[in-house]
Amino acid sequence: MLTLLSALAIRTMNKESNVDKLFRNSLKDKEYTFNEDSWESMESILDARTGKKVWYRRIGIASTLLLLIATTSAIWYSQTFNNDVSFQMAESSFNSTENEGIIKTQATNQNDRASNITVKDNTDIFSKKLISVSSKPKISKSINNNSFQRTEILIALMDIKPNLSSFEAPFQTQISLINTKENNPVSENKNIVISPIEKIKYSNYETQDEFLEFAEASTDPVDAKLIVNKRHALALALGNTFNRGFSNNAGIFGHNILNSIGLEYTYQLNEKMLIGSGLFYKSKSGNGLNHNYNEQQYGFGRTVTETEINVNSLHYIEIPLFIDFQFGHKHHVNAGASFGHLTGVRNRVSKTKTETLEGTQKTFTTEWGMKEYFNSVDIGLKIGYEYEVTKNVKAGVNAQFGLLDATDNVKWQSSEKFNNQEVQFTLKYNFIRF
Amino acid sequence: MKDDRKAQLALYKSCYGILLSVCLRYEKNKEDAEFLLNKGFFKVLTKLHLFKDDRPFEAWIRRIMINVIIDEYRKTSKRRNVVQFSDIQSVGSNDSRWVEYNAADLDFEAEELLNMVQQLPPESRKVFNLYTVEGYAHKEIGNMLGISDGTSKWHLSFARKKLREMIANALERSSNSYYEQGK
Repeated sequence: MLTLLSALAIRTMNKESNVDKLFRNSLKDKEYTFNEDSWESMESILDARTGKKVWYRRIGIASTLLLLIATTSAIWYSQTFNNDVSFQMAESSFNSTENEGIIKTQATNQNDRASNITVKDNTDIFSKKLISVSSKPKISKSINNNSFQRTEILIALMDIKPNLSSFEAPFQTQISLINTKENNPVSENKNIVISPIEKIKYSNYETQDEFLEFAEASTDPVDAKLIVNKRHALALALGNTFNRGFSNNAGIFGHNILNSIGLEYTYQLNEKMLIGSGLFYKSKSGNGLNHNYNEQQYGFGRTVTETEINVNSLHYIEIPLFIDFQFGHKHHVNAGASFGHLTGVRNRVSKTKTETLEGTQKTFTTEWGMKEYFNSVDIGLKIGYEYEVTKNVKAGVNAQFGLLDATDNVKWQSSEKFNNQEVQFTLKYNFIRF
Repeated sequence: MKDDRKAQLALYKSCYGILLSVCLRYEKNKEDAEFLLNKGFFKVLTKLHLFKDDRPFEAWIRRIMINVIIDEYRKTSKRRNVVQFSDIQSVGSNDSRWVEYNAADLDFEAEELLNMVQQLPPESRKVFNLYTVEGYAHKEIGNMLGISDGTSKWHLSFARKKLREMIANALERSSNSYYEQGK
């Protein structure tokens, strides 16, 4: 046999390059003539994409009518074909309210054996989103030239929304089952590939809809460019801070307003993780930090002024750096560090003035001052939880623990440490994604 | 173009042959290939505004098509229920009938060769096409398919081995038939 093979031609060369060369040369530039059937399928996809406007105007009677047709078709299908080949679409594929587009299913059965196609979760499929169900048997040829019947069902779904700009492109999927005859080798029966229905969402590039698709799901450089553009977000963040002790002389129940406001920037690393930073103006309580001193003046009599300064609030510009993990659909936990620069100190000043001739007078004022009594830099660690109220609004709570002593020990003549600690309730609104 | 069906058809016709030739190399039969083709064409249509005149259109749509194929593969491969290569053996085991040959001497129809490629297991088929026809490196293929460089090399080696066997079988059949006719 080898001699015959040799007679057919065969010379010694590099084996691998020969295989590659042979196939590359033959396959690379091979082209095929146009097939009308293929265009029909393409048209149904395009119809589903552009047909939304039309169906939106005909929701009432048309959807009811289609519902009936669809149900009838499905019942007909399930009763007409009856044998041992069946598949079930993953229920989850239809549960989402965002499903829209074309679902194409195919059941392939060799040697003209009929296919029994069980479509589960009918209720959801045949919702108002259904626009058409069509099916046709197709005779195909397998690689070894055996004819087999393929039943193709096209289910076109669309979400009817009043806002046309939120339209998302249709999606397709395919389920192929190959069931060989019983007398075929068992090993062939293993060649069953089930591709569960996969929802593919294309972002609406025209309207720059805020849909995020992730690079991991796409190798398309064109996509990647668009995706990258949508990973950044800017949010306005408001916070109400409850500092350690939860109250002080003029704490949260007094005149001290302990709030924070700022801009937060986040970058989506992947589906579950983002990193962020920002710029915040934040006030913190100087709970328990009091400074007292006396002044004596002599005029017509002796005047003694006792001054008590209660540090009311410390005001910082803060830059946080954090990482955020999403769990579940709407829950986030975050952790990170915060770097603060002290911009000012607000104090409640109480003066008791005692004059020998006029008696005692007491006054209260709120003043800026004593900044030199505090360190200008503060570093803290923070952890937090956030809940996505809507796609762009998050509410959460976080705790921050200062690592550095906020007070200047020399000025206070005390080595006692005062670390900023706070629990903050936050509300964030993503006002731009880019 | 978005709503102009005639223009879409014209574009579809001009892309059809090119895209189908790509899809057929990656899929097992024409129906599956056409299914992917439509997916790819839809992407071409939605991305048309991003096409820049300074690059060849054909190369651009080929690239999009390959990306769609790979995306599709990656999505389904994560949840593939049963994909068994019942015929996978050690790549090292050589077919004793294998003889080395010069590609130029072999007279195969492109259709025959395509059938051989289509008979390869999905992963090996993809690696072989990406490496041999598309010219990607193993590292790139590894990234695209989510496998290691080594696995990509293994698939290529396996594909080559299987193709050699198929060629040898085809030659054997051909020589038998020649021998019988001679009798």
